[in-house]
Amino acid sequence: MAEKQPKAGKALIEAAVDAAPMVIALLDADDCVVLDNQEYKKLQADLGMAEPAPMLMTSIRAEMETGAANVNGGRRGSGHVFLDREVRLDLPGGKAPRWFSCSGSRVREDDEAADAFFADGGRDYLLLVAKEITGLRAQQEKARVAALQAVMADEDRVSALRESLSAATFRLEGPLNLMASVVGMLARRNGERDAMAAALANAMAAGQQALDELRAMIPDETREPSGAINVNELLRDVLDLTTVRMLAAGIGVSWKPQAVLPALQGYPNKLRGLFKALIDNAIEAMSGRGWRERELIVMTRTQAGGIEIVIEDSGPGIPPERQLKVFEPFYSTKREGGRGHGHLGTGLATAQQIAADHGGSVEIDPEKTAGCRVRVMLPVKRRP
Amino acid sequence: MSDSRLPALLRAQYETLFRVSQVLSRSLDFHKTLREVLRTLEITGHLSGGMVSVVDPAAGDLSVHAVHGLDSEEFEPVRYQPGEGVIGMILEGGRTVAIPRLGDEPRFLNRLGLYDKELPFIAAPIQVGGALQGVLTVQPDAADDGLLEERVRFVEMVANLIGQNVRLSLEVEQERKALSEERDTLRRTVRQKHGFDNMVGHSDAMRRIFEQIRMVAKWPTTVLIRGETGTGKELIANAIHYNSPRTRGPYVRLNCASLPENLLESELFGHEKGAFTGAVNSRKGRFETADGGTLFLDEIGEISPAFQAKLLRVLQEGELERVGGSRTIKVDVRLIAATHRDLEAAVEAGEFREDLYYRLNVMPILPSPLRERMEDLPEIARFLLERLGGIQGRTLSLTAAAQRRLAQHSWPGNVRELENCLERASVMSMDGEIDVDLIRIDQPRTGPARKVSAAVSPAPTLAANAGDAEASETEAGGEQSERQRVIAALEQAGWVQARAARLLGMTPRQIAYRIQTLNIEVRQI
Repeated sequence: MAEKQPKAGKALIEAAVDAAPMVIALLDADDCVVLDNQEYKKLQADLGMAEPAPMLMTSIRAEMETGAANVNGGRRGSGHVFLDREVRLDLPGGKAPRWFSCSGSRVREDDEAADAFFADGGRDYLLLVAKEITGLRAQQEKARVAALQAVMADEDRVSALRESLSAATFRLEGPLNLMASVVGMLARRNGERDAMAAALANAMAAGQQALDELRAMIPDETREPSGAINVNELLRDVLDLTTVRMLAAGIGVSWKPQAVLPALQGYPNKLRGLFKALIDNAIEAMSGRGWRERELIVMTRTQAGGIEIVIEDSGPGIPPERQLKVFEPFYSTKREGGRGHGHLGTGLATAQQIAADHGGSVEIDPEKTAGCRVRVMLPVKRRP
Repeated sequence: MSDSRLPALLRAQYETLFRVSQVLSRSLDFHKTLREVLRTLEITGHLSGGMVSVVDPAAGDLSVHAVHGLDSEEFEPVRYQPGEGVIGMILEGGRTVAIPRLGDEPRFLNRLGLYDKELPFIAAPIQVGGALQGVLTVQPDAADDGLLEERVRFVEMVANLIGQNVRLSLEVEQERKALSEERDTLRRTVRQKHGFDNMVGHSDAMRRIFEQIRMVAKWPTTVLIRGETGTGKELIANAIHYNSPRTRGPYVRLNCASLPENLLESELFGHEKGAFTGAVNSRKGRFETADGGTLFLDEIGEISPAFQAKLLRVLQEGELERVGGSRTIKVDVRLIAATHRDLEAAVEAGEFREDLYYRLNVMPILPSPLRERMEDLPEIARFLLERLGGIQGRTLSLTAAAQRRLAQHSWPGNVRELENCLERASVMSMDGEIDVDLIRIDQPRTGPARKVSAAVSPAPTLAANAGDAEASETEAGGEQSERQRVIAALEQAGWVQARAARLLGMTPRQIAYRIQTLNIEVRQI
């Protein structure tokens, strides 16, 4: 009798957990599921039978690592390891992402019961409770993406203008410099009073002034605060922004992020612009008429001292002799009659600039022959 | 009956062995070769379902590497623990396993669903130097006819042949991976070392330089860096290369003044075999090595007119010929040249070709001397000390007095002189704090500093100087020179006041008075 009662109680609790209208899972130290419920199984089915618990946990850990949104830190005392962490799960097959609000609490197995079975005493478990908030978040996310789109479009326009203007002034500077050296030599030879030298010097000065005026018109760099950045999130933003275009072009995306990336110190909008330029290029490259293979691969991974982002398209690729040239401002494969890999004039040049500002680089992988693989390397600086 | 079949089998095996050896010797692409071998085994050897699993040195188990008829994407990654199934048995025992009829073997797992249970099955270890490297498994395509023994021997033979190949390819793969990883790491460190982070300063002059570098990095234009020695011409060239899209390409540097004329030519353009005495091999020049990257030519003002003509041609046409060669070589190189010379005067004097001068001077970058951007000096000093401190493993700092002392010098040797000065001072500093007494400025060339150099050497002339010290003190900077003189003499005398007094032609009392009035901190050694 004394034994039967707890057993009945246990069955009741298990039944209650099973029927609870939220995802509940009990995890051991290795993130293995010890106990789950119906909702959990449903989610697992939606994920193509992959275990949802480890995915949720990696995202939560990544977020805690970045240290962002540490709002509930003060409530640790109440036994929660984390509380109401919002986690996004990307479903396979390009389905809409889902959001969960996750909380976790430590559960310690009873020592007495454990002693009978395990020599090492009680074990720690984590009770993971995830409540789906997709409906709520989808609205917010829509608004956020729309806002982002507006900001990015603005930023795009300004940076394209800035880049073109400074490239143009730079182009003019060359010939002016040449003239300046000629004038200098003339003046040296024939003396300052030489009529030709004087006329040229005047013309030079006028040109120089025009150039200065032009330079003054270049819009200033938009100042934005630098901060700790989760590169995966930025890339996902950009992918969200380009979803419509990609669907229209029938491009399949395979997004392979490394689950946990170290936080990067940098400018979020600029980096978003960098990724967007590269992904736009990739889309454009594959949108050529009659081009069959349309597959975009976006990958992130940690490399010694930094983060590597790979953006790979199955387009016609860039021939080796142009792989350096495409980085020049104004260079566009379209104008050269090249097939489709049209760059937005200053797209790659700007991308390279942004990467350089972060101490990194953009490279076109020369070993990739079918399609184009662009590697972005961003160093993670450890600031004391 | 089996007697008539044996010779036929042996002949077929001989033929198969020949083909396998051919395939193995053809290429080093491991996966392709293995698939070819398995194909050959099936077609000529009547051994189907060929599969090679390789020992994973990290995990200690076997992973399936190649399966005949299936691409690597088509089969699920299957692994065998030691002792697991028939294949795992080999991993444990290291001996060939032959089963006359697979269905009779209870340990068989058939993980890949590849094998027919009615047929025999052979699994032979692939060994290299006595160590098990993998397992080759095949299935004869007919029921056992009493010749299983012969077939086993044959499979063992093939496994041995594959062994060397497996080892080689594993080694090559490992090496290549290690190399490319090391290359990437090195490239990153180099880039970090030579990026903008190494250029310090917020003066307008410096900001203009940064802007120029940023712009110029985007185009493959020729750049000419003109500045005094020690203004960081090389740093600018580095920053241009490592911020340009060519950063993954080669970066080749050469100081034109470091080599005599004829050597310089073969160094830059390369030479063919027999071009001159001693040219036993043909050799790539620096221009060719820098193809797809950047070539930095320092001291461009020092090259001879004949050489200038050659250089001009490369700049204009992007092509060159090796010394003693007739083949025209096309190169894609961004040239960065640097000089401290007055090129205009050199053109005037006929030492420098005018056309080359125009060609080079398209994008001049003019780093200003340190004395024209003294506002950057504290920041530069701090940066240099940080770097020196990193090398010495301690924190270094400047006292305010030392800071002032640095600001009073005109730094004809620019940042390099400052760096040398700080390095010397830091080495002499006991606790990492650099005070004014440790700042020693050598070979001053201009202004008040000249008096100092005179001060330390010949004593007789000093006496005269010291005599009118009172008078000179009224001049601007006079006090400084007096102070420097005394400090320099004290340094030279190892801070023995009496000896310093002798050097200056003063009495010990006089020098003591000056130390007091000039507020010189006396170091006790």
